[in-house]
Amino acid sequence: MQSGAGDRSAAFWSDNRITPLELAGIVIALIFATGAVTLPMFTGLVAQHDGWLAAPIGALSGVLALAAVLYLDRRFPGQSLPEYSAQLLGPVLAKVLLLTYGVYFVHVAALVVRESTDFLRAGFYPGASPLVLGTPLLLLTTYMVWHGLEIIGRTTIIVVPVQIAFTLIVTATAAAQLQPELVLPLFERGIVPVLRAALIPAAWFGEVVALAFFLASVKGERSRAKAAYAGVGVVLFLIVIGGVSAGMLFGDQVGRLAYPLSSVARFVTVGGFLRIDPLAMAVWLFLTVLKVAVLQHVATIALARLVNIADDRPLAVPLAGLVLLLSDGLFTNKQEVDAWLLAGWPVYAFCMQMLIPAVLVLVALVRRGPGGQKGAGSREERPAR
Amino acid sequence: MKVRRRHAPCTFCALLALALATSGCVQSAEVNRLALIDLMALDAAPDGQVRVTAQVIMPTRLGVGPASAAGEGAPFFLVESTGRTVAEAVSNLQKKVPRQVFLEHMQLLVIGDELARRGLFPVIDFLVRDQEIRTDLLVAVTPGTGAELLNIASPLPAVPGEAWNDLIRHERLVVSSVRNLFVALGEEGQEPFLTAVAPSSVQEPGGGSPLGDMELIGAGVMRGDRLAGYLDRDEAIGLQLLLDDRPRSVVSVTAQAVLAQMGGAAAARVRGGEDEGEDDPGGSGGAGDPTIGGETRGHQPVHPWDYTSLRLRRVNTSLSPVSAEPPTLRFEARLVLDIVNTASLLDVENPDVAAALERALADLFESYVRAAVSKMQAMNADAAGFGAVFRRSRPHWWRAMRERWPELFPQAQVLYDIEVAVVRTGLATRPVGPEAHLELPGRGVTTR
Repeated sequence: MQSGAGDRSAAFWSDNRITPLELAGIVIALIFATGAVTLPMFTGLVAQHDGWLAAPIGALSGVLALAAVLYLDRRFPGQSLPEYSAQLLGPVLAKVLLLTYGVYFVHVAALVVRESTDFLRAGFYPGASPLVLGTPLLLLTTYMVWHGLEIIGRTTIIVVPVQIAFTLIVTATAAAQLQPELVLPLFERGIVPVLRAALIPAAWFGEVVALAFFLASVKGERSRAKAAYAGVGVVLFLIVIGGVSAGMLFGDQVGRLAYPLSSVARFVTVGGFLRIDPLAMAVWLFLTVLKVAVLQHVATIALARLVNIADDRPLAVPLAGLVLLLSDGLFTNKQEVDAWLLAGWPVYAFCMQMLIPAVLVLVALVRRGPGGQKGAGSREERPAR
Repeated sequence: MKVRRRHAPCTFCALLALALATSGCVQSAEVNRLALIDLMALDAAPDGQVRVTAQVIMPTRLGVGPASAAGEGAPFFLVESTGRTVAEAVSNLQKKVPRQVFLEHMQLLVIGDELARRGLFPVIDFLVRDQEIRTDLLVAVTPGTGAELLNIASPLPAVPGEAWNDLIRHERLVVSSVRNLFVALGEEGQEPFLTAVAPSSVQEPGGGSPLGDMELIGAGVMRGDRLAGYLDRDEAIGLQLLLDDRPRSVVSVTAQAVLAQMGGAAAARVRGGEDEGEDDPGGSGGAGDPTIGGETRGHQPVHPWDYTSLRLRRVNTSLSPVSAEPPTLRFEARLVLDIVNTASLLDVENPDVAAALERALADLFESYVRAAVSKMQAMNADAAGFGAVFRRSRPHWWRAMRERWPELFPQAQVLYDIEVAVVRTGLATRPVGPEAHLELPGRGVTTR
């Protein structure tokens, strides 16, 4: 497509390849970063102590979105969404799609930054300005985006295992206090509240749609699919563990705690005096850095392809400023953030994470139909070269 | 590439600084600028207001720091303030304390009787919402005012809060934390309870001035968010058993109760520690009962005030519904205890005695639980969560009956199935008291 700056771009991207393990780490960071702390609250708000049951149902949407992305990836080897969307939808619609995704990922990144600054201010620094809290975070992510996917991938290898270990440690140390009867009976208010609650984790799991923009940069055709699914599985496990432990500690009141998992961490003392919740916060925050970096990276790609810039690095800086300002300006208070995440976000996320990939898959299936698999594949690959 | 490498350390440092700044080094709290609150009491004040009383620690009197003056009176001072809500009262407190009031190290929150009867959910809301309060903070209720309790200069520890926290956690006679209260407020069919404490008096040696301390007196049970009444210590153990909590208290059972479990003849055997007969099976074989000789030397009557004391080590209980009309529950308990004191001449090593002791203990615990249940039923406060038991195992029935539960709860029946195991006898075996056989004519003389 962009053969003008093709050489440099190609060299840049071939340098920036990540391993399947790093991909799994990215998937975990993408879903678990904000999901860890706020998700039990939202599901608890809708389904009380049955909230943790919503996560496995919600994970289905992640699996579906991932299946769509992986199908498209197999269909168009070596290409990512900006390239194959042009083949499937034509240049104009593809541009619209890229703009939509660019806006969407900037929006989500702003939302994530907002959630993390809200969390910091609620729990630790009530007087701090959100811009002061958000700036170092975005400087870090901008550095990562500037240097490309590989930096993000390598950081996940360091950060994600720590986060997983920490989640397990927090829940294990709280285990002595857990009251399993608090999450009983299952489906107390019927299955409907659980299904309604499942829409919220579904929107988190659906974030894997971002993979459509860089799956081609992951080494290993087969193993990357496995790694992505494994990442979703790990996140599901962590979210269920976290949700169950929050449910067993706080029962029907989970929805009344702004950050249930952080409350679990606040409940834990090691050796009677060592409190681990500030550590838990720090670890969680680094995961947030990763998530924002991935989202910013994807938004950068989408917008760069939209305006046909080969070297998309310069875009990272203004986007960071935009994300920072949006994170503060989109919502006036935390109540608005929560209301949006509870009501508007699932619908919006469904469109971006499920509907659009589904349409792409459908078009790909239809276009393959008459020509046969091989014929269609070669016909579509030709214009790309 | 070379240019890049030269910059690498700088980049590394800059990134590290950024990474650290990400977790926000914005607000600092220097220890020497904090007013550490050790204990806090909340009481009712006129006009629906809340009065906060706080013990502020004076670190210099703790014997730390260069200008320390340990031993000059209590290492804390009291401040109090009022407000329409707890948060407002704490804010007013800040206006009187020249350092930043810091609640994170609070050990115990005491709530006065009147405030507890007025309703506690506004207090619990503050405790859950404030970021300085830990969810595992202990909360207790006192029949008088909390301020009175805080006025006590506990003789043993420099700072009472920590010791009182330990006392409650070690003895574990109904432990209530912010979390317990918070959960119970939202849990249908379960009502909150509180540790009940009261001032006690201890005397300085040589008739010195009376000192004060805190003692555990049982539990306060609530109806909704209001205190309904108190359970005494025995009833509190009963409540704890119902809740499958782990009381660590010592209970005592009379020798008579144990003997009653053994029946007349068997009881007679143990009087006077005639287990000698078992040591020497041939000695009295003619009678067929090796311990029959005890009856002849039954000159060691068991006094009614002879007790055996045991400490609860492990508790495993469950409540399960049996039938709905009237609500009937089965209470199963498996308790493990150690003998900590035999203040009677019962030979606790004797298997028969041990078995009888276990049965007597089962009766004792049943009486505790019964007492707790009947008192809670009289107050219509379901602190043991009978309703929640039905809700969990019979959700449909509960949905139909939840409105009627306040009427049904006082009629609830409990079937008891308590099994007790006495597994250890401490560092001693038989009672260390005067052994009866030593006083028998002949035997005692010859051995000497």
